[in-house]
Amino acid sequence: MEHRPLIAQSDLSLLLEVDNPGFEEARQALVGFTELVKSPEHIHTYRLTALSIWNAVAAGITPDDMINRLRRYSQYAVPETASYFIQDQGRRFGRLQLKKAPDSDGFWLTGDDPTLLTQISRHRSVIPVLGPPLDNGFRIRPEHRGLLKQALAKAGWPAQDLAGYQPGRPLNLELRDVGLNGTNFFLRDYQRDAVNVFSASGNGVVVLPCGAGKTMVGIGVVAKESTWTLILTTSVAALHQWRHEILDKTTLGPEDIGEYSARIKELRPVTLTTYQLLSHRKGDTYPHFDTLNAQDWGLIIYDEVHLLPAPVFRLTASLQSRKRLGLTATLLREDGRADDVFSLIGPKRFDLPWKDLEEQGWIASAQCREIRVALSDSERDRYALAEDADRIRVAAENPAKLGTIEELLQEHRNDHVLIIGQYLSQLQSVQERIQAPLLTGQTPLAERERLYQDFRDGTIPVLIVSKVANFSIDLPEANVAIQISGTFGSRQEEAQRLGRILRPKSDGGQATFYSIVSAETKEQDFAQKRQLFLCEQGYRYDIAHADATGAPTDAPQVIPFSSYKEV
Amino acid sequence: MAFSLEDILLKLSEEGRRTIAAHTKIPYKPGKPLPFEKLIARVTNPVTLAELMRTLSPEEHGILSDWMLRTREEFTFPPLTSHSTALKLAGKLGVRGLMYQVQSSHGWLYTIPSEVSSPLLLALLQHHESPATMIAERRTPRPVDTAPLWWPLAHNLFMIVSHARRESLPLSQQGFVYKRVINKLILKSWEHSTSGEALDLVIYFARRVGLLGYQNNSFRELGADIRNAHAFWQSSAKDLLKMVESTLVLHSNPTFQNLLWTMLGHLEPDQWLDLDALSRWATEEHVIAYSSYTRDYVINEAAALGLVELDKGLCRYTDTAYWGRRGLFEAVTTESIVIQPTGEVLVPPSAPYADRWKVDALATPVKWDRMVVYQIDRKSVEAAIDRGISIEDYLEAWKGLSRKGIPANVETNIRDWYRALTRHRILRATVIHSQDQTESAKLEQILTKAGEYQMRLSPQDLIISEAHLATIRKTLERAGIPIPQSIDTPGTVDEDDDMFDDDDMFDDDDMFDEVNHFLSEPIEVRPPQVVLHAVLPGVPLIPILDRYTIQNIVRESITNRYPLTVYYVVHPDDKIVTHVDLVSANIKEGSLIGIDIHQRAFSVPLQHVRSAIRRELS
Repeated sequence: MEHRPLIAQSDLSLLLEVDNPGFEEARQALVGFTELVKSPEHIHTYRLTALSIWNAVAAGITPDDMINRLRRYSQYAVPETASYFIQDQGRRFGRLQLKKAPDSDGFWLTGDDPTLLTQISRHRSVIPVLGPPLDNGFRIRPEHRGLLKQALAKAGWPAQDLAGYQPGRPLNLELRDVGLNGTNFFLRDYQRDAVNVFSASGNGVVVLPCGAGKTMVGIGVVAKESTWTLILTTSVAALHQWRHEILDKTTLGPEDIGEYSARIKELRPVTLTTYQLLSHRKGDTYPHFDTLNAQDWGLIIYDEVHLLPAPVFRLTASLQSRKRLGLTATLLREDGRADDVFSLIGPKRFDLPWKDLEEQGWIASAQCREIRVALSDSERDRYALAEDADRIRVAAENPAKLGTIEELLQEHRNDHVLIIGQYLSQLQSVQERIQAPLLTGQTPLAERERLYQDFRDGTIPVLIVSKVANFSIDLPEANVAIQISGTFGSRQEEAQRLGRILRPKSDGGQATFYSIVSAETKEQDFAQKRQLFLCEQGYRYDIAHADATGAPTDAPQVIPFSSYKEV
Repeated sequence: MAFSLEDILLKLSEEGRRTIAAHTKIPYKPGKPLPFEKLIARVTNPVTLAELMRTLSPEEHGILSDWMLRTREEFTFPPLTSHSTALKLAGKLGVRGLMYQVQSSHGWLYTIPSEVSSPLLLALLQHHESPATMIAERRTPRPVDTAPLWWPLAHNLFMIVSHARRESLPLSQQGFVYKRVINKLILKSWEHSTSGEALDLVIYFARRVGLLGYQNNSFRELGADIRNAHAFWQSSAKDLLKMVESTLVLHSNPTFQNLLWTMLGHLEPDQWLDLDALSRWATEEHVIAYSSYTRDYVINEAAALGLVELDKGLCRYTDTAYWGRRGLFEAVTTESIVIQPTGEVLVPPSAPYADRWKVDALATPVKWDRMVVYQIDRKSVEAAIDRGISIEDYLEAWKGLSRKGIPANVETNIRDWYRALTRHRILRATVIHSQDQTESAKLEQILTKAGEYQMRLSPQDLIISEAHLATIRKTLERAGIPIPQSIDTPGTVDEDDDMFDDDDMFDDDDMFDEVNHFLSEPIEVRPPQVVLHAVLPGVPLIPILDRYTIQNIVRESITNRYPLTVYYVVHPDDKIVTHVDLVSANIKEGSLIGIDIHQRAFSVPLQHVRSAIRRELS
């Protein structure tokens, strides 16, 4: 009997065997109505979710077609639970529609099933955003459009939003073929696909690994939509990077691009601001939000959407008439608000496994290594006797890590090394020991940008950074990252830090990511959790040990992994 | 009870063997039992049976119908009148190996063995063209042409035994597994939707085949039964299906169930049995103890077990039962298990049951589904250490199971956990603490001579065997060293608290409330009953997992002060086991130490111990 690649589980997960000859065909068949959950090397996991099915129905795939695709590639009978779920969720999408009100006063929630409309109108979370009855439905105030969609999605009856978007003021721009520095520029196939997938719907999130060119996707969308655009970023440094890229890759000039920051308040056809500024509150109002919201934007881009702060969620609910693009490498929210990203920004529209891009050479290949450093006797005593809340810090600041850092720097003396940590005191100790520049949140902006530029130029081979460099910083030449402490078990932070070194290297070399943890401590347990996302993306961690001076203890010597051989 | 042809053949008289062999043309060696497999194939051959039916008179057909459908339900019949037609028919069936005379506690009886009854019934029905009237017109092709290895009942059985391996199934005063526990099991059952009643049946089956034992008002997978479990999971899927059929389906009303099962087995792959037509036929034929209630009960039970499917008054075997009864199971894939770098272990549906059982001992189950998912984590390593599995054996076991080996990071984690968890152990010991080291040395000298010395803990502390406390007191008393009767227990906690902590049965507050009434009554502690099948000298070695059993037995022995017989090898590669009778034993630093019946000290690494059995106190 033919061995098919798929096993459909009754909990709605789908396991796809990578080594099976039918893998690629099955993978293509699953795209469109499932979500990729993880893609380690042997078996990939997809999941059927209400959202993935609603999206599929919206894209014209019928529930029967989805079930048939599962049957075609499944080694065993498709569980009843899966078939039922697809049929049930498939029939829900589109039963309620959000349109412009016939009298042009706001919007109109309608549908062809009066019972459903009645049922929905009694739903506790829907009632507050429902207006007075309108012929076969209800009137919806414009400011409630996002909240209504959020409430309906949570109630399990997503509305098909046919009310359209505000077109925004037109903007003339084109993508350049050659950047300002003379290098050729074009959107890669997957970037173009992401742009097209987004533009077909007008809202949603594009998920691409760090270094895969999410900014380029954003710029591609701006060019395709050709409308006034507001771009929200995580920091002023990131804002400047966006500005630089837009100038480099499009025909827009400096006069077209505005910076709306604490220092400068420019409103231009493409305006860049930060989440922090947007959510700045004065009394009951958000002055900067109100100013920005008064402009006729046709598109809003949320950079690093996984970091969207809670106030911005609320503000975003009132921006539903504009096209919204979210960009991220890790749609993981440790605060569990991923659902809100879906409701208010939009569903995940595009995703590619990290390893696929690595194989295609669009991101650098990376070796991940964890080094477990022993605590000295005195540090072990401190660790054992510390309060629970302090123990992780004692472990994180293990002085023996300094010895290991020196070992690694010796090995990587010809490389561009970032040392990333969580605690200022620890970073300062490292700075004192190795005499490399330190960049933290306290570093003035100009100084930060100078340090980044010196690092890019190679003037500074080693840069010590705090968590300010976790995101959005483009340091293409960095090829080694040494993580010496982090935020507990944050998978997202681990992935983002690896992302700092994933830009393809000019010499085609590979990147190396070290995570130094204290052995047999809570930090080691957290490291397991931190690594989960990357392991699920197909990365493997080699593990080595060091003694309480930071020197390697394994035989053969594995720190600094000089004996490591590529298989 | 129905008689089995296999058992009958072992006890058949020489004359009986000769007669059947001559008639069925089976090669026969005088003095040896008839070959079961050959005989069963020969006597149940449909062509031979059809031929037999043609040779029977109408009166004989009537009698055979009476026997098969209207007399006692286990195909046993009282003595027959001499020279009667019935006796002649019995003779015809007897020489063909279809009917036997057996002696039971009720005296001599005639019987049609269980393996023969169904083919014989089918031949009888076909002769009268009865099946055609019971087969529905509707046809539905089967989507597959093999039975899956991992089917609902196999899944549920395995899941329940795995659960009981870690957590007992506490019983209510009525003797039922608590509803709360059943609800937990339902969540892990096949497609998370098996009914509680069906799970009760599976628990019953697990009890019948020795996978679950009774202990302290609960069912659990007893340490001593691990050997049974290991042997059980070596069974093929076909064996399992057979056991399920004979234990759960054909157990209480075999006449009707046999008729139903025979008819379902007769169907072509795409056919259905019309249950109303079957009912009408059974009523007209006065099938014994038949009623619509019996029919519904039997069919619903079989459906709940995943053996039959129903559709608007029609019934047929599920794919598993249909193809499985023909031995057409999907191929077993060995070394099919995948260990992911995250420590997840994926066990595919085609994995052999024996491999699953090994994985279950080595990792923690996290998801029960078609692909069962386990996790290698600190907890699973700790459990393996408790079972006496060494790091080498642990890694070796995974390498033997895994398709892609063990990812390097997972192996390093395992090694680190092993290293961390084996550095220190908490031991319970009985110690004589002396005022100073001179006094302690004096005790050591006396006890060594008396053969009661175990080991020194510190200059002032000697470890002694608690089992021999009375003898030691006496010996020291005689030497002029009296010791107070009271025993200090520094560091111990209140016993009741301890009980709650240790017993994983009380893993949540609600459960505790429910079973609290047991705690006010004395709890009977029974040592595990060990059946020693595979430890006789010269037989193959017992698999590594049995160390858990061994440790349990030794611990039971220490707690209850039972002497032990220990089976061990001198060198790890030895195939021959040796044994020693110990009057006291303990496990220390990876070794089993003790005193033998000749008062000699004995010590052997735990890895060399192959089995242990407790001795009765004389």
